[in-house]
Amino acid sequence: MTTALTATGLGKRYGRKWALRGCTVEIPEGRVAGLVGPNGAGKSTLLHLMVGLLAPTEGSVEVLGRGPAIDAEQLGRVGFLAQDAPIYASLSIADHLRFGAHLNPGWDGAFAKERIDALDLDPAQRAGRLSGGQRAQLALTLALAKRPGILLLDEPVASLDPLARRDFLAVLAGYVAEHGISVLMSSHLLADLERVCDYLVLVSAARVQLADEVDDLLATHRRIIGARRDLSTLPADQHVVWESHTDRQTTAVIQVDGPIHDPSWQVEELSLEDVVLAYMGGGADTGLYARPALGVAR
Amino acid sequence: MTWMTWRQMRAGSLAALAVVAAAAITLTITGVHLSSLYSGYLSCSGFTCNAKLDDIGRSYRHIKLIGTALIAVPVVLGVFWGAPLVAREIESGTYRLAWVQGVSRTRWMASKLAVTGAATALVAGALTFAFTWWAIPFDRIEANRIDPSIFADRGIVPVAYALFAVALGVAAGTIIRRTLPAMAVTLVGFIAVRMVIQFYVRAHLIAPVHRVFALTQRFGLGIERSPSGIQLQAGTPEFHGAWVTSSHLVDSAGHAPTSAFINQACRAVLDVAPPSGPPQKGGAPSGPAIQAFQTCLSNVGARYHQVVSYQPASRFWELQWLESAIFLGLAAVLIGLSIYWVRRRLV
Amino acid sequence: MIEFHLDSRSGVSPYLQLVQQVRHALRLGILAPGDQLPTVKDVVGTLAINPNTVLKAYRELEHAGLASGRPGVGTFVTATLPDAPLAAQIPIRRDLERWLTKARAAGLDDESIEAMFRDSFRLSTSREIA
Repeated sequence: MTTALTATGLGKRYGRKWALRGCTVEIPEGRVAGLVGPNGAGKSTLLHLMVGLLAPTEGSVEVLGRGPAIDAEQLGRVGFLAQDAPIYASLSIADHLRFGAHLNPGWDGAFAKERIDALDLDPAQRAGRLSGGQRAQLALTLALAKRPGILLLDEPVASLDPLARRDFLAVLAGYVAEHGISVLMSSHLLADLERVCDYLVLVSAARVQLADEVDDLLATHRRIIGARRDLSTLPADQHVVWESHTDRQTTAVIQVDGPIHDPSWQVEELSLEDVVLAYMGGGADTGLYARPALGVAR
Repeated sequence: MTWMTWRQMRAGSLAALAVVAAAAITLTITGVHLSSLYSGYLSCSGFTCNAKLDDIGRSYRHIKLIGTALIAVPVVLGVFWGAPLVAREIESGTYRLAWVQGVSRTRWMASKLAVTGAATALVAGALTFAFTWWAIPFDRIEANRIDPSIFADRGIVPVAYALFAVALGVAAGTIIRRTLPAMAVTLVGFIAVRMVIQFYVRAHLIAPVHRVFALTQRFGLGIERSPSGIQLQAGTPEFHGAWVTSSHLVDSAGHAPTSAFINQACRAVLDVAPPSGPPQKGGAPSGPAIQAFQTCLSNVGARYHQVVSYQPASRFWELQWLESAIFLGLAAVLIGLSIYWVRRRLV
Repeated sequence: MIEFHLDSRSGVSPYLQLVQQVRHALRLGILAPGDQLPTVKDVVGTLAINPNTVLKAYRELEHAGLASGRPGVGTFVTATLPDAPLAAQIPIRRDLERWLTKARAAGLDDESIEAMFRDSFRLSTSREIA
C-alpha cells in the first residue's frame, strides 16, 4: 500500500513555542482522513506544512511521495482549501476560474464550469457577495478543477449552516467516489467526520495522539463501567485511554484487541466522537498511540 | 499569471490612466499655446520682448502646479502600487490561495513585479515626457534645468524614482506584511532617500568644476550686520543655468575669514550704518556708506578670493543618467530582497 | 431504484445499515433480480458518506450472493431473499422461549437478558462478516 502523506519527526516552532512537535504519521492512499484536535493543537500548522505554506523547523513531510511545493508540478498535484475559503472579493467567479486556468497546467475547465452551473451561480457575480456556503463551494471547485492527486482541507465547513455543510461534503464525497483521490480534512464536527472519513488523525498538545482506520478504532475501543476498582488490574491487552472514578463506580475507555471476558464490566461500544473525546479528555498529553497505521490486513 | 496581476491591478490602473490622460490633455492644450507664445517671443524685437516674456512666465506659473504634483507621482505609485503588492495578499489571507496554485512563488513574484514595474514606468514616463515637452519653451529661456528644483521633474529621473518607490513599497510590504504600515514606511523611506541623494550625493556624482574669482562687487558681496558684528555673504556669480553647489571666501591657504578680521576690515561700515536693522538694500545709500563699503570690500578682497563649485548646465543629462542609475540600482537590490524574502522567509 | 438513508443514532455501522436496507427492499419486493442498485457516486452524493462504506456494503451483498457488480456499468441484484418458511421458524421460536425461561430462572432481569442477547448477537454478526 502506498502512502498519501508521510510525516517524520515533523515540528514547527514559532519563537519559543512549538506549534507541532515530533509528528510522525503515515496516512495511506485513497482514504478520506479526518484531522481532529482542540483549537491551537497544530492542525492548521500541519496542513500548511504539507502544502508548502510553512517550512518545518525540524523533520520532514512528503505528500504523494515528494516534498511539498518543491516545484510547479507538485503544487499542481496537491489541492488545498484554506480556512474560511479565501477568495478575491473584488474578482468575479469567472475571474477566479480564469485565474485557476492560467495558473494550473492540469486545469479541467469543463468540470469547473459544470460545477458552477450545478451550484446555480452566476459567473459574473463578484465573489465577495457570495454566501459562506457558496464561497466554500467555489473554493472547492478551484481546488478540484486542477485535478489534484490529494486534497487537503482546513476546517472547510466550520462556519457553514447544516444544509451547506451537507452539500459541501456530498460534493466532496462524490468527487472521491469518482476519482479516488486521497483527502485529509480537519474539522471540529465529529458527526460529519464520522460519516465521511475512514481514517482519523488526532493532534493534541502539538503532537499526533492517534492515527488509524476508523473501523479499527471503533472495533478496538470500548467503554467499561463497573464497581470502583484499581485499573492496573486489567489484563495486559487492555489499555486505559481515559478513566473516571466515583466512590462506588469506575468508568473507563479502553483500547482492547479481543473480547472482554470479565462479566463484572458493563461493556459499551463507542461512537467516533466518544473515542476522540476520550483521547482528548482531561487535556493531558496521553502519549503517542501505539497502533501502527499500516496494520495487519483484515 | 500576467493576466491575473493585470486583473488585480485593473482598478488602480484605470485610475492612473485617467490621471495621465487628464494631465496629457491639459499639458497638450496649454503646451501648444505656450509654444506659440514662445515662437512669438523668438521673433520679437525691442521692448515687446519683455511683454512676451511676461506672458510666458504667467502661463508657466499657472500650470507649474502640475510639475509640483509630478514630484509626488513616484511616491504615490510606490505607496499605492508597491506597498500592497505582497502585503495585501498576506493580510487578507489570499496568499493561502495564490501560493498553492501551479506556479512557484518566484514566478508569482516575478510576474507581479514585471507587470507593476512596466505600468509604473509607463505612467511615470508618460507624465514626465508630457511635462518635459510642455516646459521646453521655458527651459530654453531659463536654461536652468540642472537646478535641483527643476531637475527632479524633467528627463528620466522621475521614472527611476518611481521604480525605486515601487520597489521600496514591495520590500516594505513583504517584510512588514501589513498594508498600512508598509505604506507609511514607503512614504517616509522614499522621502528620506530622495533628500539624502539630492542634497548630499548628486553634487558629487561628477566632480564639480571649481573656479576662483577675485572679490568684486559685481558678484553681489553682501554685508550683514548682526549683534556679533559683521558677517560677509559671498554672492554667487551668474553662470547661466549652472547649479552652484558651494561658494566660499578663502585666502590662499584655504582659510575662511575670521570674524575678528571682518570686524576689523569693515569697521567703517559699523560706524556709518545704524547698529540694528536689515542689511543695506535698495534705496540710495549715503555717500559715507558707499565709501565704507568700498573700503571693506578692498580690505577683504586683498587677502580673500571667492571659490565657487558648480555643475554646469551641460552636465544635465550626465547627472540624470547617473542619478537614475543609483535609484535603479537601489530598486534592483530591494527587488532581490523581496523575492528572497517571499521565497525563504515567509514560511 | 431504491434510495438509502442513514440513521446516525442507531448504533449500527453505516455499511451494515445499507446492507440491511437492500435486504429489506428485497424482502418487500421493492427490488427484484436484474434491478440496478444506486451507483456509489449517487449514494455518496446524496448521503455525504465515505465511498468505501458503499463499496463495503455492495461487497457484502456480493458475498451473500444477493448482488453482482458489472465493471463500468454498476451493481445489480441477482437473487431474491425469501423469508425463512414459517414451518422452519416454529422450532427456533420454541428454543428461544425455553432459553428465556432458563435465563429468568437463573435470576437475570429484563435488562440483563436484553444486554446479553444484544452483545451475543453483535458478536456473532461481526464474526460472520469478518
